[in-house]
Amino acid sequence: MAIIVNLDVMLAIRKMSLTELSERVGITMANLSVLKSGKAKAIRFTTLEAICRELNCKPGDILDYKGD
Amino acid sequence: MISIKTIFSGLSKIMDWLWNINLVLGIGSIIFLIINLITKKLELTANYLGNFKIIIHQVGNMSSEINNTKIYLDNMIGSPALLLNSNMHQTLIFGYTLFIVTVVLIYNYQLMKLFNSLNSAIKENALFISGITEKFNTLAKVSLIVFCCGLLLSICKLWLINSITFGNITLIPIFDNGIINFAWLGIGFFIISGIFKIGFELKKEQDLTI
Repeated sequence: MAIIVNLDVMLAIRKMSLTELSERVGITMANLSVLKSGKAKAIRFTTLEAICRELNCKPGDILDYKGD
Repeated sequence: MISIKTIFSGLSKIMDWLWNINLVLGIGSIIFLIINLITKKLELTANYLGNFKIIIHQVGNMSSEINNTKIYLDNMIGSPALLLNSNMHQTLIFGYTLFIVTVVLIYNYQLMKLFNSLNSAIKENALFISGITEKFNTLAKVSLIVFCCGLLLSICKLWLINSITFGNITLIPIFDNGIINFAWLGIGFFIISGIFKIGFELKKEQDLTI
């Protein structure tokens, strides 16, 4: 897929673990792992909003587009 | 009120019994024909040629006094039991019966598996799983194979047999309409399989939505 999820990069910048983000956002570790690995098919606005709020970033910092 | 879970649980059990009955009958038919092959009995009743139009050349008519109505017997449709004397007869019937029994057993086995899958899927509240799609697809393919074989047999019968006459009874081969039902079944199963495939894809997408 051309959409790249940079969640691991943002987590590293904010020095936050996936477990901590999972607890703060209220999403299971399994679902966050799916999102981080790029296997997710879609992301809800509510989830994106919660992640952006906790990581203090914009959606563009987490999601990127790379064409062929 | 009877729930859908109870209905499918019952249907699943009925399909299990039907499969067991079919298995016993199928194996029994094959054993019977093997015995016939070994004993080399020349006369063997067979009604495997499908439907015939039976014309009775009878002078007069059959009448009934009910409501002063007269009944005229012109012709009828049926599967006559033929007695053939041929050395090849037993072998041909054995081959044909083996094929029919195999197809019927495959069909019933697939139906049983489908109902078992539907029953467990409904119990777990997860109807759209890939297994059910595949089973509907297999059933559709088997239905179309049965239709093609029946069609071929019917065409061969119409092509090879003009008419069979026994005294004042004439048998004229006709096309076996019943076989068309398998084509409709096959198309129906393909459509249901497609619906389940879309459902499965949507479920997968929903599961991967974070």
